[in-house]
Amino acid sequence: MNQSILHIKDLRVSFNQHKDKMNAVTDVSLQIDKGQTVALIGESGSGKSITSLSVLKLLPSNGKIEKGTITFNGKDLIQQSETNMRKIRGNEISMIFQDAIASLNPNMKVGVQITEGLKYHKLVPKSDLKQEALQLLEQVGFKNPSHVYSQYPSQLSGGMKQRILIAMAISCKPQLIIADEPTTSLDVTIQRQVLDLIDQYKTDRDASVLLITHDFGVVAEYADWVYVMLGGHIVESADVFTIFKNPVHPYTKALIGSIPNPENGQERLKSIKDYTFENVGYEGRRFAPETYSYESKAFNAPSSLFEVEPLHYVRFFNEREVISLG
Amino acid sequence: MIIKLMKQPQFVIGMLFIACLLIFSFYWPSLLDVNKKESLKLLDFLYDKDGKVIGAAPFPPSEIPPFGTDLAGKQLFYQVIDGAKYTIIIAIVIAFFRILFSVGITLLNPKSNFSYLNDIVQATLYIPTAILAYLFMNALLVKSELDSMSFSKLIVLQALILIGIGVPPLISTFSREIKTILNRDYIINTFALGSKKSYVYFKHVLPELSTKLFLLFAQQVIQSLILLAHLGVLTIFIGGSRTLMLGDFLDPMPYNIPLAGEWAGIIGMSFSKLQAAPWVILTPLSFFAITIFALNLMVQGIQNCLETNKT
Repeated sequence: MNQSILHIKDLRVSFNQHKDKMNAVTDVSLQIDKGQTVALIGESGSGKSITSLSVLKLLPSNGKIEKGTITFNGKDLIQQSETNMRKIRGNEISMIFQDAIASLNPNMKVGVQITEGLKYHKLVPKSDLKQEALQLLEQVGFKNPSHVYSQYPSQLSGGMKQRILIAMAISCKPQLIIADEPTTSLDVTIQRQVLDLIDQYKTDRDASVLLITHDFGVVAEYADWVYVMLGGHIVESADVFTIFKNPVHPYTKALIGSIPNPENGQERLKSIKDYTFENVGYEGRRFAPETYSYESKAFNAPSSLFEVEPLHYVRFFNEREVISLG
Repeated sequence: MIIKLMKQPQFVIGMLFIACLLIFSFYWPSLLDVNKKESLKLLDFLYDKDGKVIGAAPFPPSEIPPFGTDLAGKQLFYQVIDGAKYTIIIAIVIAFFRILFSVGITLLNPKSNFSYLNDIVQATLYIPTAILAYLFMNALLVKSELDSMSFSKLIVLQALILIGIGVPPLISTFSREIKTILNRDYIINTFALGSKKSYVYFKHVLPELSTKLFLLFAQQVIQSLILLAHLGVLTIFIGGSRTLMLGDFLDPMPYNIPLAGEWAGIIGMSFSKLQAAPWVILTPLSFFAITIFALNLMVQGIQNCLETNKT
């Protein structure tokens, strides 16, 4: 059995908005093993990024972890003090953000920004910081690191900025990298380059990656395990082969179905009809799976994950639905 | 930032004027080759060659150029030049501490909306600052006379009142600005690398705020100058005043002379004689106006710089 590096259990995160409380993440559980790439997939607003920010305890000021545990290398991160969390951030767990343009300070030279993590964690003597930064720049594929070192982010392309973010994230050689949609703002040719860099680091260091994405193509290529998220819930989880071969939850099916297939010729691209989402009749249920919507009139009814086959979990409202599924 | 500002002609002109005024104010006795004590002495009467009295203070600019004298016969030109350093330095100190305190308080709790403070600011928005300052300063002056407070203690307490009055609206401004910066992705990225709050504040937040801080500082200097002028009219002098008896024993005329030589004091001590000797008020007022104009030029230059940064 593989060694678990991160284990999130029953995580619930809420946000205060004008005296109302809104659950952004509800009872999310996931596990990442050493050397594994785990994909967290779902549409915008499904709670993927909030889950990842909870791991680093970097939620916005109105966000709060209501319950659950986040265990990293045997330590419950929720119980850690801010000082301890600072030692973990960047050093043991680092994060690559999706918007490379916004994630770099426009008024600071790239070289200075790359060495920030090394400086905080005092991993390299001050005199060697520049040398280390140049090596990192070379590692992420820059042919002229010394030139890039003294440039401002505005002088770099989107792909270059994203590589700088990767250099920052791997600077302290963390055991876990959280990549929050690292290729969203990049064109397809650069996307592969960036994902390959993350994958290369993972292989070289036997590190783990939590890959947050909404692109099943990326999942198929890089992930070992997949968690599908919707409306703050995990609705399906399995290894990547099972998810593609035997998706059970209608939302997973719809996501896979929306991948363009050149063999379908001129058939229109499938989309997820989310008008049901806005329908007040669903009383806040974020998704009404077609197969059992007739059965489940009370959409507010609690739902839970059922194991439909070994290590393949799907969210249902009750056991009858699982049985009816056959 | 400094290099960018130096490329703004308005900023440079304004700054040069203020700098020249300050230098002149510090070194005018040697630059004009005059004796400071002699130049600032009281000159009650003008005599002819035979020692006959030919005129009494206040003397108009036509009799004693360039600006005439005040009611006690002190030459306004030397008073204004000598008072420039006190006026500008007092305004700069007030503005500096207002900015320092408000940024410090905001950074102590950057997540707070300071909503209670916003309510107070909104409620006091329509009360002129001079009235608020007058209420506190007047009470302080009364107390200083009763307790025979020292000159330096009085100045410090007066400065604290003037600083305190300007801090709440600034906190409200800074809390919005700092919150916006702290929500930027690159700040979250820096925290995700394990940085300390202090590092983020000094390396990311304050440099980002620097031009804005400079702009607000210049605006605060202007506001402080205006406030000082208003307080002068209300006969509130920085550092207090001493009373000089003019006239004769049959018709004594008490005349308050400010202990610090700033411009507001010159206005305040002669305001009641506005119609009889308008030049006494108009001279320091004109200097206030010119200095504020120079500061406004600097503000304009900073704003141009901010616009350039945005584009």
